[in-house]
Amino acid sequence: MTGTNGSTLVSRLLRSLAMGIVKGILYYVLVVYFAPMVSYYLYTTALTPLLGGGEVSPPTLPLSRQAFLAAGFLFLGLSIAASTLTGTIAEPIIRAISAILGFAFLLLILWGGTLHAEATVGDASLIVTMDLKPIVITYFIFITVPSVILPLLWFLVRKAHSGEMHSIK
Amino acid sequence: MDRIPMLGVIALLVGLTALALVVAPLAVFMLQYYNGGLNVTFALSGTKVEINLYYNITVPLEDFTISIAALSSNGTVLDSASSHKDVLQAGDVVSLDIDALKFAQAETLRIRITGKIAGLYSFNVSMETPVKG
Repeated sequence: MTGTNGSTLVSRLLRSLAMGIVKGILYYVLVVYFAPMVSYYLYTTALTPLLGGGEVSPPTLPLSRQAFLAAGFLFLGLSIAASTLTGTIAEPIIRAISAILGFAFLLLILWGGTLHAEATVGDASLIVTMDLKPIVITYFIFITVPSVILPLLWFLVRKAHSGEMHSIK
Repeated sequence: MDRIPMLGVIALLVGLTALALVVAPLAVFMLQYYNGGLNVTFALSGTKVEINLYYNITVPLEDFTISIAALSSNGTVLDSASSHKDVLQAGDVVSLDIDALKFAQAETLRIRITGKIAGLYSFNVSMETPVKG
């Protein structure tokens, strides 16, 4: 009986870890590769035609490559911790922290919601400012807020449900 | 209780849809812009230099303003022109003209464009380029 429980716990932990690693890799790919690639694409598409196809240097990213990597590992760690601690109050809290950090990271990637780019080709200079707050606000309302509330709600409902089961027994 | 994970999936789908709807006009604008959807041409017409902006992007630009100034070497505005449109749509042409003589005397040409892509993303472009001849 104890052996069965032990192997169940180990298999649950392994499954949680595997899920955490998969989610972590997803975060890593998104924040380390995809987000800088998209921001670079937006930057070059905005500047290249205006500068007559001149060489456009890459934009200065708000974070260094190392910081992107560290953030990727942070999300990986949080995802693994949340998956491993499934069923405890720590899980929705970690997921909430992860969602809030994800939003903070989006703010950093999008220069706080206002893109500002400067370029010089020969004697010509160009300054572009673009307000990207609609993306930030939509992300906050439709992704961050549900990501904070739903795991907590799920946890509370599960607890209430298991409490009811105990009282029935 | 089993409805909560389903609620999570629905919330995620709603969130991603909302995000896609907000990002789509900007993405379409960028793609069409990159494929030559916006052109500015200069042509001498009598005593005027005519500047035409051809807008051929399906995403409308709201509160659009373009201003052009011919500047001397010390930054003095020799001549300038500006135009404003509440909504700039595909196929629209915005025309401005400045004095050809002033244009010839100018050292620098300054172009400023402001507007709101699809009424959502306000932008400001400021460009300064030397005038040759």
